[in-house]
Amino acid sequence: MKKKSLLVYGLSAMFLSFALPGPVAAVNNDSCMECHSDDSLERDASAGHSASLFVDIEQFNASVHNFDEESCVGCHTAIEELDWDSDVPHSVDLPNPDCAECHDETVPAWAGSVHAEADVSCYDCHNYHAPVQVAGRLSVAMLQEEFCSKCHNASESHDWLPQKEVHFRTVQCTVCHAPQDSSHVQFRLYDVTENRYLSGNEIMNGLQISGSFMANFDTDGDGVISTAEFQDFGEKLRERNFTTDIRAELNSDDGPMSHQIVAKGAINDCEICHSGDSAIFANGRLELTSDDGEVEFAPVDGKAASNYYVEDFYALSATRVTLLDIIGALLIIGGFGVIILHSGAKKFTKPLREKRKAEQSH
Amino acid sequence: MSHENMEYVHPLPVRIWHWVNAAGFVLLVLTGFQIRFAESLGYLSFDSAVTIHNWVGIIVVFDYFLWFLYYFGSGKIRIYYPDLATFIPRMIRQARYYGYGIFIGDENPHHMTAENKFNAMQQKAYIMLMFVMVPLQLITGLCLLDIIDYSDLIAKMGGLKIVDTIHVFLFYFFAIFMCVHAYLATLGHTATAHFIAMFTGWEEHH
Repeated sequence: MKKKSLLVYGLSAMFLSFALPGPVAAVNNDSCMECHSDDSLERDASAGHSASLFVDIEQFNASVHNFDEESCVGCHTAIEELDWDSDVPHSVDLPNPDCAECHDETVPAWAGSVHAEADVSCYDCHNYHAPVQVAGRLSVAMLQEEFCSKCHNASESHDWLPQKEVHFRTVQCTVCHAPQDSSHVQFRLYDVTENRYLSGNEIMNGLQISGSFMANFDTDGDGVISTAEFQDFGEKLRERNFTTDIRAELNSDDGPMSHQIVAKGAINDCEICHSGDSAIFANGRLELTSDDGEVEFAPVDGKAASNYYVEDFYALSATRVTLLDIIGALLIIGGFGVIILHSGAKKFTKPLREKRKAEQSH
Repeated sequence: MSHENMEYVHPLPVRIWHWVNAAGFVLLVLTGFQIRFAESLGYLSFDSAVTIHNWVGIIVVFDYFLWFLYYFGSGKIRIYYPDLATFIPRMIRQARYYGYGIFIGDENPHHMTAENKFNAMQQKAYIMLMFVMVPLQLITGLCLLDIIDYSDLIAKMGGLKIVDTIHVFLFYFFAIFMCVHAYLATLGHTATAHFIAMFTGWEEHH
């Protein structure tokens, strides 16, 4: 009996040690959500206020951190273990996550920004539990709404800028305000009946083509969709009766230097963009984001923005249509040709007229 | 100044309209080239060229209304309407004069009067210019002046690229039209006769 009791107790202890969280357990997101899924969970904050400790796991799962397989303790590195015997299974005096642990180029770039000067931290712009994938997934208007317009009223400070609202719609703020980052033309397909951008799969399925986008349209195999290849793409869209607009915008490359936001020193020289040899229009990307949110691009010659299939984008000088200039040149050459020939013929025939005048006066 | 062989064919409102329009178009063409070929031309900065182009464009729109109100208000607009019964033979005669007769000393078949100001070729050209091409250029220019306010009109015309294409094509047309127009104006009885007349209003008969 004694032996049996020992066995029962031993097995029960083993069972309980697995069933109940012990003082030391692997810290995964599920264990954090044991408490942080409670939307009433709060902590005391300064001046008698409280701060929510709730984490919306669905938002987190849709965040770029989750895409990159980052976990809660990947940022909250001070939590190495959870003690389930305590009221709070970890220290309540945790330091803020150090973004520079991973973003080791971005944070130094931010440190040289006007945001750092004004003590605007990462969290002031990026929702710390749900940082969104910026590159490619958001239009310029959405980016403004998600980030800059939360603090800035751009309209009030850009009266000097001709057609400022057009610039706000098509040029990402960082193209001018983070001049150390490079920029490109971003092409997207916008479904005008459903008012949304199409994913890469929707584009490929709609075009009824198999294989990769580049294998189908990069016919010369140089790794970039040229302006001529872009024309083929536009024609294919029309053939398949796509109810889409090809939309173009100017976006930053979203490298680390896109966080070095400046106020003074922002680009205000129009010819950086409005010029036939603008570097910004040298590179482009067609967005082919996958259904699970993974951002993919097809490299495109930025000059494809001058294609007539990109019907509502036009940047003076930069995306001028060369064929139109050839027609214009022919008109001008033809006009001057007529003037030169006619005036030459008048000069050449002057003796004829003088002779006739002399005969008439006799 | 004796007006014995002279006829008053260019009233003051027409002369004001004409020269404001001419100066405006010269500025629009110069700034237009600078805007379109910013990397190759450097006689103005891009933003100065855009600012001048916009303001001059607005002046030219108002100037068009001056032309419109004067000609329709006075009823003189009929000088632009060709007489359909005689139009084709008159045009052939005029084309023959410019292509051949002018070289051998023939007399211009058209005699300018206040009521019959334009020859058949001018009527054909100017009716197209003033009723189609200039209004189209002004409308597309206004659309491009504020593409958000005029977005509905731009969409009706086929989108921003189409509106821009019309504007640029007409820009090239007007650029060369002004040169040909100035050359043809030298073909009066003296090289400067028509130019002077466009300042004084009086054309001399020969």
